Amino acid sequence: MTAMVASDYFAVFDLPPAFAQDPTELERRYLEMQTRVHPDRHAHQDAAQRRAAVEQAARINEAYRNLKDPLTRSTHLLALRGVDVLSAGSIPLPADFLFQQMSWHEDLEAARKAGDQDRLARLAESLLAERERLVQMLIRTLDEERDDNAAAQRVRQLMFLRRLIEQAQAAIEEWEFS
Amino acid sequence: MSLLQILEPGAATEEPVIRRLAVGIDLGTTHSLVATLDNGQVRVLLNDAGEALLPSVVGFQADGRAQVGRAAREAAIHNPGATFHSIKRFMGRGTADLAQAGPLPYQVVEGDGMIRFQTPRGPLSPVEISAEILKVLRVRAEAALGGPLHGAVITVPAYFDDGQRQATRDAARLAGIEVLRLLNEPTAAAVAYGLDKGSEGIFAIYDLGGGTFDLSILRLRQGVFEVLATAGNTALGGDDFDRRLADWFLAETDLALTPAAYSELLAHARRAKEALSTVEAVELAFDAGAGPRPACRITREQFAALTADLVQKTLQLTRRALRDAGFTPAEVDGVVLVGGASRMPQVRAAVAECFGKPPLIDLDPDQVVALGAAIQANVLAGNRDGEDWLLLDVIPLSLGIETMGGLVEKIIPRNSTLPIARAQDFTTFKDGQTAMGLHIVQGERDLAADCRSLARFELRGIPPLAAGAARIQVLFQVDADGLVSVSATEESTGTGAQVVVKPSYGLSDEDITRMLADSLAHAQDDARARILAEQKVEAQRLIEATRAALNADGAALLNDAEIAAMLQAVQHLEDSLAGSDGEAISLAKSALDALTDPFAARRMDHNIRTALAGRRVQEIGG
Repeated sequence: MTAMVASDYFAVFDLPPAFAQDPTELERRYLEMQTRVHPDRHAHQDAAQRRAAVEQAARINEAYRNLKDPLTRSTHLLALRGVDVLSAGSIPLPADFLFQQMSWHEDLEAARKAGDQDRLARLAESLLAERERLVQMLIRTLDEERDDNAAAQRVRQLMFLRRLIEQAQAAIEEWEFS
Repeated sequence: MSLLQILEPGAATEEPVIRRLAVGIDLGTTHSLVATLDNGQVRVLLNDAGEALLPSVVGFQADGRAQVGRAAREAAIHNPGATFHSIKRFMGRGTADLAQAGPLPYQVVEGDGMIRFQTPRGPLSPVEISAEILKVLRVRAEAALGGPLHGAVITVPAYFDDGQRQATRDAARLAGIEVLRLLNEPTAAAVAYGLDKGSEGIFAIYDLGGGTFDLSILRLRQGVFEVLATAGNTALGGDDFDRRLADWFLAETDLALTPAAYSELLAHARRAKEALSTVEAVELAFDAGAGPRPACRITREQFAALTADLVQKTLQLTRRALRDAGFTPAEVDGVVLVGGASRMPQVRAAVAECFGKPPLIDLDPDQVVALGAAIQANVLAGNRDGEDWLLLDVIPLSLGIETMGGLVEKIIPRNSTLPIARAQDFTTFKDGQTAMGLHIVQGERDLAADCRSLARFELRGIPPLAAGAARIQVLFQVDADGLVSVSATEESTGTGAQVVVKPSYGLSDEDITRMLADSLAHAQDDARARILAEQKVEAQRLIEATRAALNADGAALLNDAEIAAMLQAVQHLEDSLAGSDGEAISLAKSALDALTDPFAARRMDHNIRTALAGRRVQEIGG
């Protein structure tokens, strides 16, 4: 089980290690493999077979979870290429991104305090659009230019964005549950 | 020795067709039921009186005998202190949780850990009380099917945490039932509906039971039922609507009641609630003893206003699940209503408004969960009936570990697909630190104190290194039942303290054995005989499974020496089964287990490679 930490998630699905992936194809392979190894398919067999099924199904779930999401997929791809996204943190993020990020934060705080649901929804929407723009840029940087250091910086921007998106969704939820 | 036939690779490897008796059990807050699938037809099993629903009420008589169901409910008025309603609410809970339960007519036994109630049979936990309900259902099923049960799928609210799931499984073991799977109630309902209609698309399952609420979002396609998100509240259900009505009645009439009389008023309130689903107004009356008999009239509209906030709470959770799944209400293709409490008109109207379409109510909301569980039980027992579908379910609550300052580090986020294995590295805080306390929690809050504590354990024998130098890998595993186990290893030296965690309110295997022994009239001998019988069945299963596996893949994946060793171990185990020495059987079984483990791993790898290879062929062909 410990081997899964260092394993190549692309290889699990027999896919080339690239950032651009067809989500439909990834999903199809995932479901096809689960259909064979899931513990339910081996429930009436002996304990060893059942344990092996749980281990393999868990490994496939873990690989799928990491490849499904652009952020974890890019982090994993860079790790396979020997680049640790977090230790690449010494390279400063571009100033315009930092400014943009501060203004989003202010926007979020103001909307949250005012309980302005429309503003929160609009903000969440523009954050998602920004994420999509970064993902498109990452396809170029990672797959075509293969500039891993530039890519690591974009991945860190994605991390900031994810946190903001989570905060925006939490603010929407907070208002709904109050 | 009997010779084993090894088939050529690629030859037919059909296992012998043995029909195993398997059932689905819905262990509900207010009532329970059991269903099975035979001849392709799924049906609920009835008692002698032709009733499907067994009220989840357990009463203990003065001599300690248990009465379950309608009889217990009718006798409750004379025996309120030893008649347990809605015991499911206390499953996997500690005494600290009782404060929220309101006034109870029971005597609670003081102590740490699991709740225990005083009964004529002595102090009993909710697990033991629930086991009485399950025993009645097992007997009903065995009588109807004409033989001992192979096993059962037992349903639990999707939002049940690990402790509540463990408690449910323990109750089944106490009732002598082999648990094939704990299945989430909304998922079971989706199976019943999906297979019934052959539908594809996104479905929302709105499950309002007697004591719990669950909302699951599923995607159905190509025979795969994939749960995308689930949300819920294990302390919100039809009972709360009864209580609202009862409290309104008390306020209107200025009555003050004892806990026992209040329980009776609740029963009246429940009947009034049920009546309001078909009529516009009812009269709620209560005989308080002396004086005039107070009565109040209530309309459907008034009742809806009294309970509007409860319905709102369910809709908030609905929106959360939709957000987690990444869908808007309009994108949902169908909404299924489950649970008796979903019959209330104000609930149906609110759900229809939320999704912009009328909910599906073709199957009886009281039965649909048990029916789905029966379908899944049939598959897990190996009676495939040509069905080819798969269920992928999720963990409802995040799993994490307490870190410095009482904060929670989330290891597995909610709605991750089961089964899960995830490792996380931790390190020491001080120079020379040789022990580490690990506190496993489940929940969404940031502070460990606000989450549910699953277990605490200590990892000792860490080599004394500088702060931050030791690498402690904590491995979280969640199986297909949603049950959690955690182990920890110090990596730099390989100091392996593998600890399997038992939940804070769970039962140990010794507890179960003792309770089984206690519950049998002839105590120890019967218990031993029963354990030996179970051991033999297990061993027989292992032999059959090993033979089938050898037949299927032995020639392709093992060399002659490996096959010979395995056959010898099979023979050993068979020889030991002829006697009645439990120890010998156990030893022979472990010896065979040691050989089948690596074989199983190879078979699974082979399986995966075949999956990928099959796809390549398809691609070229298509």
